[in-house]
Amino acid sequence: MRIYTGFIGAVAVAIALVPVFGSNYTKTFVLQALMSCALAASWNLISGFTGYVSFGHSAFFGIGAYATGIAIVRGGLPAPLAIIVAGISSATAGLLFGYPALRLRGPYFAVGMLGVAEAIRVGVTVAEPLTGGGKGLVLVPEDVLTVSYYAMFAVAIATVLVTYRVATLPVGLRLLAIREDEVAAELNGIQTTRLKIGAFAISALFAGLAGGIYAWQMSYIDPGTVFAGSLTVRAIAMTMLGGQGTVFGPVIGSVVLSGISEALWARFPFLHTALSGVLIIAIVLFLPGGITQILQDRGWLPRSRRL
Amino acid sequence: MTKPDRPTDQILSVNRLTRRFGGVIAVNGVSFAIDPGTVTGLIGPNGSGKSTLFRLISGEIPADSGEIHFRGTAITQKSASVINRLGLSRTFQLSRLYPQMTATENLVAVTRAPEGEAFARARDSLDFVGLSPVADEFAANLSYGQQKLLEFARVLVNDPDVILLDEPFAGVNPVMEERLCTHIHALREHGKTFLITDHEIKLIMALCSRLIVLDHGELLADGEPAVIRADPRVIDAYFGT
Amino acid sequence: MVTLVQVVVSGLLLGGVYALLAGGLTLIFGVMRVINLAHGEFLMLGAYASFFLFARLGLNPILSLFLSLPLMFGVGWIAQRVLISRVVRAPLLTSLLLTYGVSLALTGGAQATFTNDFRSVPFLSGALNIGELAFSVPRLVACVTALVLTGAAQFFLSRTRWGKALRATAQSADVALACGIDIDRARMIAFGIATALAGAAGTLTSFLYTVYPEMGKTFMLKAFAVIVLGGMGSFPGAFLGALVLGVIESTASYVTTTQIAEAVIYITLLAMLLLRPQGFFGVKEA
Repeated sequence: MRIYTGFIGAVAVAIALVPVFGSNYTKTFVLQALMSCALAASWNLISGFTGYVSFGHSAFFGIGAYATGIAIVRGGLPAPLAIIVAGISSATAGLLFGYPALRLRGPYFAVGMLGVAEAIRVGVTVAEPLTGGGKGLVLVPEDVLTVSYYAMFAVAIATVLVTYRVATLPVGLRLLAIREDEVAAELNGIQTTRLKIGAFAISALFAGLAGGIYAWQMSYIDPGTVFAGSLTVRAIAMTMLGGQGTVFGPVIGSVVLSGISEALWARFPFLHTALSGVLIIAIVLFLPGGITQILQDRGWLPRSRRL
Repeated sequence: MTKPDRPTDQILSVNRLTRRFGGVIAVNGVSFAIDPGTVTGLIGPNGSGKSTLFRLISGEIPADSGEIHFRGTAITQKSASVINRLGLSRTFQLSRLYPQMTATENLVAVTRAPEGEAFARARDSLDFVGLSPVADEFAANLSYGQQKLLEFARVLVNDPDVILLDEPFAGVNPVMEERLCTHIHALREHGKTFLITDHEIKLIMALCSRLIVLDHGELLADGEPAVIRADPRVIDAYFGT
Repeated sequence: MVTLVQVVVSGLLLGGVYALLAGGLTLIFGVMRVINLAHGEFLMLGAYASFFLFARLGLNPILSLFLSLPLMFGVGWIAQRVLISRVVRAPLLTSLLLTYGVSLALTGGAQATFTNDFRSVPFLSGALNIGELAFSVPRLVACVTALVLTGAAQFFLSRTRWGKALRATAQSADVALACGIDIDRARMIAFGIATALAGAAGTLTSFLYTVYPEMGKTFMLKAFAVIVLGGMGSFPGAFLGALVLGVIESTASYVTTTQIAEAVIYITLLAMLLLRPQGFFGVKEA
């Protein structure tokens, strides 16, 4: 157990030091990985814990990205404020969509969210005067690689910390109870609706913050990229690989998959999608608990909600 | 405090409750009222509507018509979690524990004690039913009897006033039966009200001060065990063609 | 007035093709309580099959169906045997994620094998004029073919022995098993038929639209919208829902751009999910 947390701590320190010692290439790569981690961890908060799998997670990333973009370009806001706007926008969207959407059962919710993501993407593409439409939106190009790096790092850490708090408090168990047997949970007096919507809004918040920082750092966004299904795919694959409903599962998953991605698949982008698919199939069939499960089954990790 | 809609001497009352499933009338105009601090048995042959009645009272499914009152407040349209929070809780015939959570966690997830006390309250409950040795076992790995006890502990963890027990003795050995009966008696002394359904007629007759008999969704008889036992209609319902 | 009729008819014709796709999806759900998120990708495979059979062998899409239908049936059979059967009794979440993985694997595989270039099959064009109305010939042919196939599937379900076995399994797998029905085989047949129908829908879209690896996603959403409209698990419901969706799409495309028309469909889907998730003829989940 100590080795495990030690490992995570070491990784965290290493990440913190990259901008000091690393090249721009490394910085960009790790920044991407941190973004994936934030996306995976935020997806995990709703889907991993409550079992309400969302296939439209990219919607909130995109909303955050465009909220920041619009705030900077049309509203003239400074970047930090614009990113806060991103968070508020996506969290609000989470509440707005969550309230109706979470009343749906599993598959309806999952595909419904996919529909939401697509609808928002089309909406953004169509609202040209505001969003720049299909051509995209150009922000003020600044070299903010290092600052945005640390900002993304902070968001990733915050997401994981919130997950840790949730997991170790009774509220985390209540969320898991929803996943295990929602009807029984209701009958046991658990306020499932409130909890689901709350988790959804927080999940949306962090995804949106990640989107906002992305927009700021890239200085250019377009609907196809920030609402890309591949963002959702990555979040899901990483979380499942690491272990759904755990605290560090998404972290492990994002570290492993980002590394593999970079080493192998970056050259074969299409293989990336296919292999993600195969990975998800393999995990569902053979290892539903992900890497965390392997470690726990082998006794290398205790069975603890802290992880 | 909300103003009660009915006189509150009876803690749970059901009035002309009806529920259909497709063409089948599962519960047909059933009415009865229960006094606080009593143990009432709900019996009847298979298919008589006992489980459906439980599901209606606990808010799992909505009624087609009729009313349910708990402590004077109408709960007919209320959701399951609201009803549970008002102080009416229920066990399940096939226990619905959270399988991937430990025994302790199953209780912590449900308890409404403040955060700091949640785990302590859970441990106390486990102690009460004698499950402390398996506190950290996954519920899925517990034996049948242990699961039943855990269900029992879970239904009590928030100190409800009215407890619906759905076949608590099914498949349970005599030693466990004793234990459960002792617990029920003790809790009744503390003022709790029970409504129990089971097929162990002898046990129910000994345990309950009053029996309600359902047959084909309708109220057939209602009274003391000795009277019910001799009622020809009841005998007919169980053994007749 | 004429334009309105034309738009509606055009939509109905489109609906025929959607019915083919959605019918398969609802069949799978009915018999196995599995939502096959890879269904759109089977359509995509059918579209590519049609394209290659046309490009390499010169077979027109309708003829190529004779080859691709059994082929896709086989693909579905194997998929059920190897993958889906493992999650039939599992919670819905598991089968959702599994079929999601399958859809990714197929999309990625298609991207790697066929590249992202748009393809299409130049088969049929022009319009048939009846009175003042003009009907697109490709759409007519596609719709008629779709109806024939849907009708054949419906016939199979209602009149043949295996069709009844499928329906029995859909009602209650345990009871069907107790009656001596080989439910595993029934499921393979169901999945095979559904996949064959999806592939056929793909063949039809190959000469109506363009073919590209990610086309499955949009069609999947539309099929889902159809099913939500018509009700999960109901074959006739899927048919009606498909017609309704076709008309909605056609009308929206006529009134605004194609993009907004798509958004309209998603909004319809979402609205239905919120207001009447069981659709008009839905089967309650077991």
